[in-house]
Amino acid sequence: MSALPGAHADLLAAAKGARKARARRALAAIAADAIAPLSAAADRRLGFGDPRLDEAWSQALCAGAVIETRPAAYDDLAASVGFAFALAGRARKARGGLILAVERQGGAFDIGGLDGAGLRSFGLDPAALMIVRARGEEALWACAQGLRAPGLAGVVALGLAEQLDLSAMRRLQRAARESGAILAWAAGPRAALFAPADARLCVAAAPCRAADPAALPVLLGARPSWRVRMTRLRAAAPVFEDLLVEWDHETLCFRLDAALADRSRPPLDARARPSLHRRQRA
Amino acid sequence: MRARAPLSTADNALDPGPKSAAERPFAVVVAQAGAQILHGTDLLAAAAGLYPGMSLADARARLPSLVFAPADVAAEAAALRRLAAWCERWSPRIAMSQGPRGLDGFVLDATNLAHLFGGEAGLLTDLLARLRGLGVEARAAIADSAAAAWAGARFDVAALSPTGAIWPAGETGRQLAQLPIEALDLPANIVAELKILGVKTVRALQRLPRAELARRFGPEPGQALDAALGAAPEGFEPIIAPHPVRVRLRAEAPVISDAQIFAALEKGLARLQVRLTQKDLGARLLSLRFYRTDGALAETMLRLARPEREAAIFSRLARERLATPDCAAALGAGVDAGGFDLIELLVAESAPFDARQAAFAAPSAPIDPRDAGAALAQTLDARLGMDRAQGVVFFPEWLPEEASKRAGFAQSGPATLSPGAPGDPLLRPRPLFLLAAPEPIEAMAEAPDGPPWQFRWRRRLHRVARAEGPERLAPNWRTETAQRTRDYYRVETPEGRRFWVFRAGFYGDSPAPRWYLHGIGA
Repeated sequence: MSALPGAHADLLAAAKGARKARARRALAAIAADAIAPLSAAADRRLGFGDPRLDEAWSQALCAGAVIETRPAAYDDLAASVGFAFALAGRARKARGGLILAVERQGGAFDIGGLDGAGLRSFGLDPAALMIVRARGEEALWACAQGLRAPGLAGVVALGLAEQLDLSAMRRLQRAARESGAILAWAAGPRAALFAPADARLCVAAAPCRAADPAALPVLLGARPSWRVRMTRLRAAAPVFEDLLVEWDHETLCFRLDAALADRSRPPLDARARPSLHRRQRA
Repeated sequence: MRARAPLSTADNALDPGPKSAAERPFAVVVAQAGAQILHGTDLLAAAAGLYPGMSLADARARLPSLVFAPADVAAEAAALRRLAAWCERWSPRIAMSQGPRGLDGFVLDATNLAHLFGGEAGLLTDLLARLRGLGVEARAAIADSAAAAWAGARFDVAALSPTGAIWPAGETGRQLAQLPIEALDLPANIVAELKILGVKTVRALQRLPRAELARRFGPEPGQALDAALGAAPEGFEPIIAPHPVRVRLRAEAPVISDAQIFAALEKGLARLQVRLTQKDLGARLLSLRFYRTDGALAETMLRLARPEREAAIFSRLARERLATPDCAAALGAGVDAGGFDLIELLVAESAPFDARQAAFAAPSAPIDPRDAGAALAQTLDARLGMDRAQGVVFFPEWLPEEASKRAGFAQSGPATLSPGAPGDPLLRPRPLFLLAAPEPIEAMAEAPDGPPWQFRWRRRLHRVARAEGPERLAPNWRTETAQRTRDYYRVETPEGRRFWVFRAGFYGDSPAPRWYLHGIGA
């Protein structure tokens, strides 16, 4: 450095200064662009109806969160979408307001269309639900509009965008943070990951609670059960544990029952991981 | 009533054949009863005495240089309707008019409107000049009644001039008397008979005693005369329904940039708000119309989830809509074609304005989810299209595919289900997903009339660990005799996946009962 002629050294210093300033500006921009962390304060909790669930989920499943649900296998698709609607029903119970469901144009999945009567099991009667179908960019725009609208409890996105661009995802996340509405992103079995999701849940169907067939009728379908595993938790280590939860359509609460644990099936992550890895490589 | 009837003759835009020299007379012909008949002529041919209805052979004998082409009647009628709609810039009341060979013109009701255009002469001159600018040669007349204007446009020589024919008020009888008998809208056979009797002009007809005329020819000639003289009421079927509220912005020079379009739009929307407030109305359907200088019309509709009148709301929705690819392309094409010279905002559907909504704007007021939904539905519809934001509507039907449908969010309304109604989940759980049509499955049941113990759906085998049912849904015996009774079962596989399957028909029936899968539960 000292070997350089004086004028040259000044130039170099100036250039370094400019680069530093540029870097500082870029850092400031990133800081300004940063999305506020989730707040799990009492007034932002959704409350799941079971203290153990509240403990396990409240960090990430609270007002303003982006939650991705993903089926453990193709046949669990309906279960995973149902779980997303149960979360929305919970958000509606906690915060009041409307739920917007955004479906991919031409049908979100190949297992038929959402049934109005079926949605009632999740506390979503016609007065509480708006459904819109759109494709590509427009669907993401509709999600953002829903998240920004006053008086909305949440948005359930069904089978949207196979290829997602990061800035669109961050826009959605920011909109959710600002309004406090939740975004339940119900992905198909082979969809791209929603990168900035606050929580990612892998969902599989689980057998109904009544172990004794003589205890029928248990109203199969009215009380769906799921095996849920959190595979991503933003800013915290996820609880790598399969939780068996049941939905109570009367109180709109989840119930956790360890006794439900079904050891006969392989753990969820063993089945879920290969498909995720395949996607990432592609 | 002062009415005028421009009669478009040969529209250049529609000419399929080459019009070799602009100076040669031109006509389009149709085949009728084995003969070629002139369907329409241009001004040159008309000036030489050719008229629609003349046979082609006669026409060519009189005018050997005549160029002709076959007429596309349907396309001409459609083009004429478009042209008539465009003429709404002069009068909101427009009716199509029939000639002896189908649709061949339209009537504008110019009552109390002419002063806006510098008098009747000014109106007619402006109309004809603009039509000429579009390449449409038209004949026009203005007279005391629609029937008189119809006659004037077709048979008065002055209608061929660039200023059109203007029959001064009260002189209809005198003007009409000079015209041939065809100028009255009479059935062809009556015209032919009258001519055989030597009644060739309207004057000759007027001289005949009415009673004799009626006894010989029926009531038509008298009625036609009365209609033309304005002595009898006329039927007038406007092609555009009257609008309670409209705002029109005429541009001094064509509007050619987006900024200008939006500036004009803002101005118009503010005026619209004033008009709606005066009438205490809210708009439910708003039409934005952009009249291009070349005669085309770009139109888009905004559906509002509830009656609105705030300019700011309209403006936001309009911007959202105009930014969509379709609208942007239409506006761009308009700008390329020379711009727009008239923008019209038209309330196509309105409803009384609900004062409760005004309170919604106040930030402190608690938000009713339904109101929030209405605002969101409006925003979504503005960009995605009408009624794209949907709600669920239940019907008192037992068949699951009939029991709930989707409708525009504004129409879906609040929940009206009473406990125990078909959609009540506490009574009869329904699956989250319902297939558009039940899909046949191969099912094996332990008992012929029991639930299946395994089934194959989409080539995958599912075992049934438990089943509930049946829930028997019978078709409406009065209307749907082809449907079979369905026994629905809720079944669960050992993994916990839930399906809704049914057996159509009863055991022992012919044909044998079949199994279907209808829904997938959460």
